[in-house]
Amino acid sequence: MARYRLRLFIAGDEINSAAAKASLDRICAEDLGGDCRIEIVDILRDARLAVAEGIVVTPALLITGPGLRTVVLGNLTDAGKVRAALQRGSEKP
Amino acid sequence: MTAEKLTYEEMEAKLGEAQEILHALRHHEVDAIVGDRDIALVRLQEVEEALHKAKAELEERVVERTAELAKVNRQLQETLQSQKRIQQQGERSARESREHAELLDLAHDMIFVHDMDGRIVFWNRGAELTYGWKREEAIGQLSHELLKTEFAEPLLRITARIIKEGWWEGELVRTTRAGRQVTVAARWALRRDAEGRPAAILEIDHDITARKQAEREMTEAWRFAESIIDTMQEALVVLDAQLRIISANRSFHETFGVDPQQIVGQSLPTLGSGLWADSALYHRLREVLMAGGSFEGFEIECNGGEPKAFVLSARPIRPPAHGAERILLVIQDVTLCKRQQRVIEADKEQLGSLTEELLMIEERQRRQIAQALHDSVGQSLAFSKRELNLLRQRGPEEVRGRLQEVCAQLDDAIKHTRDLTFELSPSTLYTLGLQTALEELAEQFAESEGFHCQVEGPGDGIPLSEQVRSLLYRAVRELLVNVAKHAEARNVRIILDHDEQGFRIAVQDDGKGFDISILKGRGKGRGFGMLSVRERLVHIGGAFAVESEQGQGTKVTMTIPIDCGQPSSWGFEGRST
Repeated sequence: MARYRLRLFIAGDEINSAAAKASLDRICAEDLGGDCRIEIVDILRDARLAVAEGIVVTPALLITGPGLRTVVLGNLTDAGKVRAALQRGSEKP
Repeated sequence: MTAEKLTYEEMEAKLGEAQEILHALRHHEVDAIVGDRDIALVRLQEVEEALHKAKAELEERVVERTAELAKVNRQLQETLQSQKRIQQQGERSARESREHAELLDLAHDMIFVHDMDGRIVFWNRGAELTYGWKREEAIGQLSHELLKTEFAEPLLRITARIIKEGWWEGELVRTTRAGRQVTVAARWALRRDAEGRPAAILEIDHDITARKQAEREMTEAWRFAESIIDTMQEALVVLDAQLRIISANRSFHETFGVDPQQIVGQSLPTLGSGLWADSALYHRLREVLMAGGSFEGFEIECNGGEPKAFVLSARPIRPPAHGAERILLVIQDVTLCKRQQRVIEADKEQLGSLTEELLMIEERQRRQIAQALHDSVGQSLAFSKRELNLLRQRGPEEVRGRLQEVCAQLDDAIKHTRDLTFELSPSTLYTLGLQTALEELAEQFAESEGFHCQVEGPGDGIPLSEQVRSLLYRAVRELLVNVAKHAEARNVRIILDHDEQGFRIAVQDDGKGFDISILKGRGKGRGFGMLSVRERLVHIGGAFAVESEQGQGTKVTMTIPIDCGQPSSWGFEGRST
């Protein structure tokens, strides 16, 4: 079972959504060694999950874990910001 | 919806999340905003880029537009300046037009302008005054309907001409607002627009009603005069300055047998068969034209064909239209008068000859009677007296007294016979000459009338015919009778004189004189004897002159031309041998 459950809400192939997906793939590969599960949710196809998760804007990375719920907004080009969020998720078992 | 009450941590988390959202939005990292029902895509970068691009384009457009605007502005400035110039020009034109219109208002002529449809667009003060419509009333009206214009030729033809030639002139009759007809000398001028198309017509009307009326009256007067002239028997012809015939009356046409239509315009000297080609007449007519004088009594005769004689008089005349000088030539046919005059002259000449012949016969008879009295009666009486004187001397005493009385009666008879013989024909006149005869006559008058009478002269020897001698003798006798009857003179001189020109006798007295004007009359009395003498002298070519004043005496001079006094079949004046 993967260490991180990541859900990325995007809006189709919009610029920031595509950049966020690429950034997340790189972080997952480089920093997490692939130990992550990424779920891409395209709100243009179905927005209900986004609404249910309280996502207001895209791209948005929802990091969930036991007792943890962190959202990183934007195109995830700031890798430090993403790593910090992941770090916060990993500190709470 | 009931607001869910949040905990502090939840609110802090929401706030952090909102800050994140704002941050993401601010950095253009948001693609979409998720709402409960709709999703809004947010492409701020594209928008921004588009905005940038649009801005750049806009700036470029602004630059271009600015350049265009600058260009347009320049063009606009030029246009404005051009419009300003046009406006100024227009204002100047309008001002000039107003000034021209004001000037046109000063004109007495009626001036108006109408467009090519005939609608009036300008109407001056003169038109207002003459035609009666105010400017505002006339503008827009059809001019020829308003003025009820009567054209001498179709308006269509006039319009065609003015379009072709640009102008037209002629006379028109207009009707004023008050219904008065006005005759005008109209001048039309065409105005074209910038493209050369006919735009308007300027009409200038000069009121010639009075002039036309005067011309009509003058024409009527002229016709009246012509009708009178046509009834005259004298031939009348009017000539222009080149002596061409302008008109002639009926008598002229009839007298010279010319066609009235054909002679007009012909030169007078070329008319007929040379009758009028008289240089003297030509000069006289030229003088009339040049000096404005006149002449009368110019006689001209035509001997070609039937002899004709005319008496011409001419004077300059000025025609009604104030044209060039003309000549009225009055031609009186005096052919009949001349013919009668010649007959009278011939009769008079014949009568004179007969008179002279009668006088000569009378003179002969006087001489014959005188000769008979002298030769028979006188001789018989003288013989009887001589015989009776012898008887008286030889006869008885008782008859001597009676014979003495008879002899005395015979003496009276002899004396009367001598006087009668002398009175009938003084033999001295034919034997001793005029001067001697006049000396005898002077003695007789001096003796019988009591005044001193003296004869002065070169002596006899002047060659005079018997006819003239007798005439002059009897003329002097007649004058001496007048002196005796009226002059109350004390001295009378009879002066004979001659030179190369002729022979003269003057009878001069120192009596009371008389008014010689009585000689102009034909009355009897003192002048009758003188007139008789004068007529006889004039008949033979002599002259008779009287000088007299009241209280200054009288001098009568008789002159005989030398050729007239020459003896022919009557022999020479001179003492008989």
